[in-house]
Amino acid sequence: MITDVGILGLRVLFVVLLYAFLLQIAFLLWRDLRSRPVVAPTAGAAPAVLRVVDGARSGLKRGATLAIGTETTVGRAPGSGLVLPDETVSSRHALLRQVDGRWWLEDLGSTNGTRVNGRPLAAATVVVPGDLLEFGAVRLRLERGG
Amino acid sequence: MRLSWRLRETGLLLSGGALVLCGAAIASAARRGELVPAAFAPLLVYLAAALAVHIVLSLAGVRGDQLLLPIVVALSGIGLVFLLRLDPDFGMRQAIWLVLGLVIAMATYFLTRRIAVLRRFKYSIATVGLILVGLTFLFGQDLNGSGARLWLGAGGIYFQPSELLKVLLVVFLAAYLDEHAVILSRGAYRLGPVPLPPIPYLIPLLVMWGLAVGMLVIQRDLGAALLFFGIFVAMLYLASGRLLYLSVAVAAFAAAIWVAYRAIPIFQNRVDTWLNPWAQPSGLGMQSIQGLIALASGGLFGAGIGLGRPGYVPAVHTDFILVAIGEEAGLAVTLGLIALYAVFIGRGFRLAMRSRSTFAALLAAGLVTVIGIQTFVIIAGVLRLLPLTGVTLPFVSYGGSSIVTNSVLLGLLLRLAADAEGPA
Repeated sequence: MITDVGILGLRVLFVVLLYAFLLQIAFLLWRDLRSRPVVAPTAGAAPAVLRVVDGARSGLKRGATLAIGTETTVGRAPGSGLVLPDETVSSRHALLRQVDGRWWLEDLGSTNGTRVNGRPLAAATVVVPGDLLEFGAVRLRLERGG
Repeated sequence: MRLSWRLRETGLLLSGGALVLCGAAIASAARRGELVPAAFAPLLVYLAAALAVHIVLSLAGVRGDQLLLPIVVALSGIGLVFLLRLDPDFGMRQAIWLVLGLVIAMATYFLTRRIAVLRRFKYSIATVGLILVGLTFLFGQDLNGSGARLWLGAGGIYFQPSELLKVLLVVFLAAYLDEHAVILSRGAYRLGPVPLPPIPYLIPLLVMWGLAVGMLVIQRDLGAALLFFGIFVAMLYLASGRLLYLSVAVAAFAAAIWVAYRAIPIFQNRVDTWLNPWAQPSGLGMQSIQGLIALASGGLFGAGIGLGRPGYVPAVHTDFILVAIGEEAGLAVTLGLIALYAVFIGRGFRLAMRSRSTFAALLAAGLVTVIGIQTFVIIAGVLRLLPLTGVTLPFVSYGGSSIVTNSVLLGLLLRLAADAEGPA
């Protein structure tokens, strides 16, 4: 038999346990914030260009410089930010964009794939000046612009 | 080999489990005067299943968010305590569904090894969802006498397809918006030198929305329609970042509400009942009034689990379960539950920010948006901040369809969390 006092005790315990659970969560959230170094966004934009390493059959000459905006779609389609008229390039091939001063490259489900320094791209990835970007057979190098 | 045991999850599951068992102890002590083993058995089975999931995840070396599972277990466990107290029959069935739900969450996690596959099959996913709703429209049954034929099934097993459609819709929208996000956010694409509005890209979205909402309005399931529209608008905004779409969509919905108020009697009743439930205190307004009285009588700390009279409130085990919790455990506990939802949703958005692809980000944000909107719609409905619409309180309410759907959702979030942490 549990007395009324016992029930009261259990009820107090229930509220205490709920808030202890919440505090435990709050502590973990706090530690999460503390431990993860916040990436300082690079001040200002970092201009970059693409240098043609191998134009394949796109007609682009080796060594030519291609301008890119802060958000550039790469593809064979005429409306693309960067048009690569080569048959191994999909009409919407990849997306190159700048977030917090870093360049991100993402494959948009292209047929022949996108590679960074020879490695196929599975997900959006940070690329830095000097990286070799391959869209199908077209090979371009990311370089510091300015 | 690196130690990758999910220690934070262990700790949270233990304290969450203690909380749930304490609730069961109160209910048992209050109703029967002693601690009856039978009162704990369903809860212990559920907690053991949750622990098993935790061990499987740890042994499989799964990385990623360790808060999601314990929060779901705490919410579901507290819901189960109240269901067992309200109606042991419903409680037992809920316990079975919850255990099944954990299995489904694990199956979802391990089957979606490559989340990008979902993106490729977006139109198939949308078609399956619409076929389900179409079937409900043709063969649906009205199980609770609400006038809405929402259930599909035979032989005693029934399912509410509009529940599952929520998740399917989020997957479809995430895939579709991912593909077209750049164009949508730019606001115009070019045909030669002429900039054109992105209408051709918006048409499939509007068709999708029109079909879903149209079917649901025909089916009189306004809660789900509100939910679907909220998901649609939220995801459009997440993908495009343009307030213009948001305001146009909200204006369109406001117009739709006005038309619905004029044209659909059941909807007009709902709104009138919302504005003044006391016009029909024993009719349409009864549920709302009883709910408010129950919540008010609960006060800050409630009557004690098992010591209130929540049985007066219609649908107290499903849509109105918050009322039972408020009456018997008080505002202190309902606020705590809302805090748990807030953390769950926040973790989803954090996950979205850390995801490695736009699709994963949209999916994570969209999935927790479902939980957020649904929780808001039902709690606001119960509190009379919004017209009452019949949706369940996620993870807490009784209902197999709801549990199955939310389990799929949890499984997807765990997968997205693991992907965000793991090597690219």
